Amino acid sequence: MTTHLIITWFAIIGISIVGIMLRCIVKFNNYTNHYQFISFNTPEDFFESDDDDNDDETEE
Amino acid sequence: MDDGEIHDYLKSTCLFLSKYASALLGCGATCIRIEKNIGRIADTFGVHVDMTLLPAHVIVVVWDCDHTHSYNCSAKPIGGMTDFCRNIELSKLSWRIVEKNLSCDEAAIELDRILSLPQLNKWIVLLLTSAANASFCRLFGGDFKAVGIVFCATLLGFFLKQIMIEDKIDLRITTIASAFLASVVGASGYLFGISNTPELALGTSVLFLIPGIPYINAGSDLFTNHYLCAVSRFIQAVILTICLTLGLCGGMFLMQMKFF
Repeated sequence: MTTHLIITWFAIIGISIVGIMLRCIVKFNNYTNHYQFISFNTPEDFFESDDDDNDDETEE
Repeated sequence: MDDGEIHDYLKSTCLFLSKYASALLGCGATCIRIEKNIGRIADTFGVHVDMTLLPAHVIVVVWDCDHTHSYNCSAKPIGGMTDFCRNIELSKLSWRIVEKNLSCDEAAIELDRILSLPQLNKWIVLLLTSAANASFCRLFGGDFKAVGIVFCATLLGFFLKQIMIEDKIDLRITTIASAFLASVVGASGYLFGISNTPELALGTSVLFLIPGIPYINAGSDLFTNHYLCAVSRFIQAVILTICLTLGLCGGMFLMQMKFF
């Protein structure tokens, strides 16, 4: 019975800690991607690349 | 002043006072404090104010001295989380308006500055809350192992609460989840036989979730005849306490603790 409870305890704590860590990683990644977009890409580059893609599709 | 100037003056004053009152209501001030501060400012600005304080709204009516012109405005509470730093700054602003005879425009700039001040660092709040809750365990006679368990339980439970609030999850669900996690960690004293006072570790591990400020504010509003706000705050506090109990019972049930 005690073993069963200990497994349950570790499962709850483990799931909670892993969940919190995953949430923090996702948030951090979102922030990093946003930061990279603002720092290293200009809106012109972004729209130009879109136009290029569209042109390619039209040619095909 | 002609009628147009009076109207403009009343309008700007009313907008400032409604914003000021809603900021105070949002940061957890009692109704009597809001009334006193608004009355103090209104006297300095040379206007007469009638104010209705509701649980989710403030309605401000500003009259000129002759009671011939008026302007009214309603506003929702700004913020929504208890913030004593903002509360103190807003009260100081009301005194600065009186002592330095600030105009309405100058006071509005000051108010915007106070509202844009950053809140206390969340990691410091997390550590201090955990230390405070662990101290409660020691005050009630828990040994140092129980204090350590409570510190860890609070650290994990309060961090979960912080991130769930950041994600705008309902406060009641947040309280249940946080109490559940804290109680499961708090039960480790029983489970692993770590402490000589495991019951204190379990009992005090969820104390950080008790809505003490809404209870105190409800009492204060009751004594100052603001029954509507008092009942609203009391019900809000009771609901949070029920959620806390549900989370605690869930944790105790899962860890097969005996209730009595």
